[in-house]
Amino acid sequence: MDNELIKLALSEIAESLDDSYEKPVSLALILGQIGANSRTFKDILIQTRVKLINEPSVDIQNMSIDDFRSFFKYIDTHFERVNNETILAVLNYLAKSYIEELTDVSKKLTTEFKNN
Amino acid sequence: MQLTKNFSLAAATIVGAGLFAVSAPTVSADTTSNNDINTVVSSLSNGNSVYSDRTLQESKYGMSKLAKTAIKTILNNRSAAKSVVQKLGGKTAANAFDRNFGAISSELKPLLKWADVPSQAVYDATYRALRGSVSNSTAVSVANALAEGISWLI
Repeated sequence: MDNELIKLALSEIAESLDDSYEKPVSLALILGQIGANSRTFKDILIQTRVKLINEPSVDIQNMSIDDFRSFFKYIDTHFERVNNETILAVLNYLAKSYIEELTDVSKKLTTEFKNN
Repeated sequence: MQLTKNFSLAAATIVGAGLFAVSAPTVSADTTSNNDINTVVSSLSNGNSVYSDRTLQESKYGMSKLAKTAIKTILNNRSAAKSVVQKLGGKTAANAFDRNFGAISSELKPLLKWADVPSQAVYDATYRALRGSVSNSTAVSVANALAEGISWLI
């Protein structure tokens, strides 16, 4: 099976699991779909914690989707052109599985986005 | 709150020996913007990488001596290693590391016999040790924190 088929298969499997930006099924899949690689996956886990969570001067609760896009963009330039749903999907998956400190802000941003 | 993209191009200052602690003065026309966030993102925008030169240098594969020294530090200084895992992976990861220290040690020890120890080998060994006993995301967090943090341990 070639790589493109594997990507398509994973997307189909995710879709069958009701994948959405509110309840994404895989961070790796989101990153793969925007063209990022495993280095980006690792950098996002580490840098989000070091630069945002561990940094007392950063108020993550008041960060906007654009703020997070800017932050992720400097980890990987692929984030420059991604839509808001993708940013929310990344945040929601990070909050669910890796960085629980993002839970409140990801819920807030998702709710605001749905209501707009 | 909107992040302005008008980031300063002034050179970032590496704070102490911190690997990630980089700050840069920002020039923003938007007075409502979050200057702290600007500083964070500005520090990232200063170069092409999120890492300082030192981190880049240390994260290159094949830093065998560095990795072996770090592995020995992990094996001999559990609390220091746990602290690094907590900083890079969070509390859940740190607790998982602590609870499974024996299994992780057993997987890391054989790496000391390798001629070259890439950081990916530390990741794989740690993940292998945790697989099944903690959730996949916790295993990934611990493995990633340990593999990325090994340069902090020497």
